[in-house]
Amino acid sequence: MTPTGISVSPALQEPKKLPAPAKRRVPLSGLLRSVGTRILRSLLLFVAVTITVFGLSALIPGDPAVSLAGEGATPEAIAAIRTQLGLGKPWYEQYFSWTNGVLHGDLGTSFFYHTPVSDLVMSRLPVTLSLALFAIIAAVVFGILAGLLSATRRGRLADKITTVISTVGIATPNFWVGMILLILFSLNWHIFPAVGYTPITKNAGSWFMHLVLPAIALAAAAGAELQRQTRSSVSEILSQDYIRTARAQGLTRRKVLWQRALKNGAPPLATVVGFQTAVLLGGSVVVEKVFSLPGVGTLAIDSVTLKDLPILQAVVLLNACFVIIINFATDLIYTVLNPKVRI
Amino acid sequence: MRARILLGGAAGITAVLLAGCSASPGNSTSQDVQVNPDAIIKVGVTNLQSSWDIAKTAGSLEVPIQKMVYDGLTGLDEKNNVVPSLAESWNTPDGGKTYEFALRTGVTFSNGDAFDATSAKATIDHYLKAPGSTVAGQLANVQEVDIVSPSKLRFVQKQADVSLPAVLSDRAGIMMDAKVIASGDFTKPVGTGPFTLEGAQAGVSITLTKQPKYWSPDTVHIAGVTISQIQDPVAMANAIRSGSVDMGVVGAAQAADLQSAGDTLGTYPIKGRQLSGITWNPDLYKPLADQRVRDALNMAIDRQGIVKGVFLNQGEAASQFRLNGLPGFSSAAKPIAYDPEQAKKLLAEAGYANGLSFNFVAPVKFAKEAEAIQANWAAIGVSVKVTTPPGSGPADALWYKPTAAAGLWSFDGRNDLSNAYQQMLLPSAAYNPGKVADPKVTDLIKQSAATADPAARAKVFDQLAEITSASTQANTPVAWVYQVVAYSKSLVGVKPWESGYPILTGVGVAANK
Repeated sequence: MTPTGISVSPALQEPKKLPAPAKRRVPLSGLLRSVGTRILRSLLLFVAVTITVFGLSALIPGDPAVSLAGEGATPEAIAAIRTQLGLGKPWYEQYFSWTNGVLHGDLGTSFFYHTPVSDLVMSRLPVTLSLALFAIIAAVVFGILAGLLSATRRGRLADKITTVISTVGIATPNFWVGMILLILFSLNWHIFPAVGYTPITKNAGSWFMHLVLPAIALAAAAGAELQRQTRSSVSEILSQDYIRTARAQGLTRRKVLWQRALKNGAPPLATVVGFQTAVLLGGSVVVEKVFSLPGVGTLAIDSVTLKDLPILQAVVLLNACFVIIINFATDLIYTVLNPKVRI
Repeated sequence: MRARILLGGAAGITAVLLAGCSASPGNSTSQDVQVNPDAIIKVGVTNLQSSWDIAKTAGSLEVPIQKMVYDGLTGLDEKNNVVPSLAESWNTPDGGKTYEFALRTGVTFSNGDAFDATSAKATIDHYLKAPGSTVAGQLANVQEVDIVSPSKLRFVQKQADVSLPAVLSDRAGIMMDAKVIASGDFTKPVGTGPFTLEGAQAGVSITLTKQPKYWSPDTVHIAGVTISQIQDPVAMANAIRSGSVDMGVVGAAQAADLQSAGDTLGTYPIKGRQLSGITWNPDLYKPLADQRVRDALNMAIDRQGIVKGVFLNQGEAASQFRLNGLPGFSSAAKPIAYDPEQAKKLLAEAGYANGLSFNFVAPVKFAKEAEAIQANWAAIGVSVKVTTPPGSGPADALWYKPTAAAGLWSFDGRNDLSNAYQQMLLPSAAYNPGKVADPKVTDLIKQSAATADPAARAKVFDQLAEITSASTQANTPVAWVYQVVAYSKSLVGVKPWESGYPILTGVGVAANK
């Protein structure tokens, strides 16, 4: 007997353990076919990217030989530099020569620095990857936690506050966020350094301090987007019948939230995270400039100013490859999380 | 402490620097300051060294950095006068056709090799003959270089030109080690300069340490320099304010902010190193062939307004190719005065009462100046379409593959005035695409190149300034645009050098900072 005097069947007194979500076994051949198609698409995209990169870089106004020749250069001196750089050859010869080099791991030699482009890019890559990694971790942690908070407290004060924060985050350009952070935390309060970068191998503490502000600036929009997506996705799932059933069957609120709602809301979130990672890599160009971080983005901007085509082509190609890989990984994760897409 | 100077272990050991003095100890003031000889100065620059092979470097803006590691045959003092460096003296026995340079003896490169005429000749030959040499243009008039003795070098020129010592104060005179040139490996530069390269990351930073065997040790008061590339002027200002760097070049707007930031920072302008002006190309737009049209357009430009409104008073109106106060400037010359009404009358007189319309190109950094000129010309009925392509786009559109009828350029002022006139106003000059010619100006420019006597040369320059200020030639100066150097006041001995930035000769760090 219960305290109210209503008899409850023993079956209901001991809540039945809910059956685990059905694991649909999808044929391996289907998964392989799906992966194979995506690899083929990625390769075609890569070829398209090389053509686009090469074509677009040729459209930038100005002659690299003029930049290199410096002040007072004679037309003859400029012509000699053009010949030495191989810029006098037909565009298709230049393209095939460049593509051949890329396929053999040779990204060419910088017109301006006279060093292999691969060395330059590799020396800058750790900065951009550190920044992007820092930012994506910050965005995911903030976005998912704030999104869950909003979803579970819809219409209440916490929801309103996080929604306002995310609206501001989406609406504010990352360079502006960066400048505000810089003025407050570097110039006024002297907590973080204003510019520059220290490699983690040299001083881990300094590396961390140099990345905090740029990473927050870069993560602001991505975190806000993730918060909105999480809120929307989890709110919808929380209103489903099976969630009410799970709660009625005695599952704790926390278990329902993390094991049912978030798990089922994960596929769209994975897409957003993938998309935002690609956006972060692009956005790092501006943030690196604000904080004078010597990353790939800064290298890209410098190469446009100097019309250092080999660097520019390598950076754009690298970025495109990252996006292709991120998209590929996102597709795979989505496929694993949502077996229906494999069919 | 705003300026974070890296202090070495022996911070207690100090030396005395006569504040305000430069390389020459005779320039001392009465204010003696204890400096820390172990200090390292952190400097921010917009562009780092592109290569340690000078024949591959991209322009003269890199020269001050190059001269921290290398030395030139000649140098420039604070007011841009040509002064001895590795060449102690020079003379021309035939009025500028041949020059003999007496080289400093007892000087060694950082690898221990002796500097002599063999190294000097190998260097000049390298600049003249290296494939794609970016310095060859500066030495285009050099026919051959001969070794007279281990300490004497002779230059034979194709035509008499007394600007050679000034030309050699730039990249063309920077001396490298013959062995390094022969090896072709310039990754570790070997020079006779005050510092040696400790480490570098292309486009990011370089670290230099004091060369113990430098031939003029009294001019170096620090243990080393870290030079970081910071291209954005706002980021540069932030770096200076936060103490991330001790010195840097900032824009006019940032300079005003820094000047009001307190008494821990100092600023000084480099006034004569950036001239903005206009190239006219009658080949692409026929009305510009008419002197009256060019004069009218020139007359309609409100230079004072541009200096005040665009450059926030960090500049001055220009009508000559030399800054007021520097050798070669003529105070007697009368420039074309700003007078829009008279400009309209001149246009009408030339048959263009209904106005003109042409395309106008400008570097990105002068976009606002271009817009101001566009507005000035609109007031007299002239319509221009302004474009501001990045990088070398404006130079291409104006001079090398001309597509713009006119446009703004940025000129470094040149170390020798005759050299500047030759490149800007001669009908054969690369910067005169429309071949605008004034026979009298051409004749005077040739005289200036062949006149060795300083007094006679000054008279020629005066005449040139008077003519070119009063009539609009192939190129028209508009404004000197100052570059503002901001620095921590913990640095002592900082002086404005017209020849560029950064120059750390005579600079130290106060021992108590």
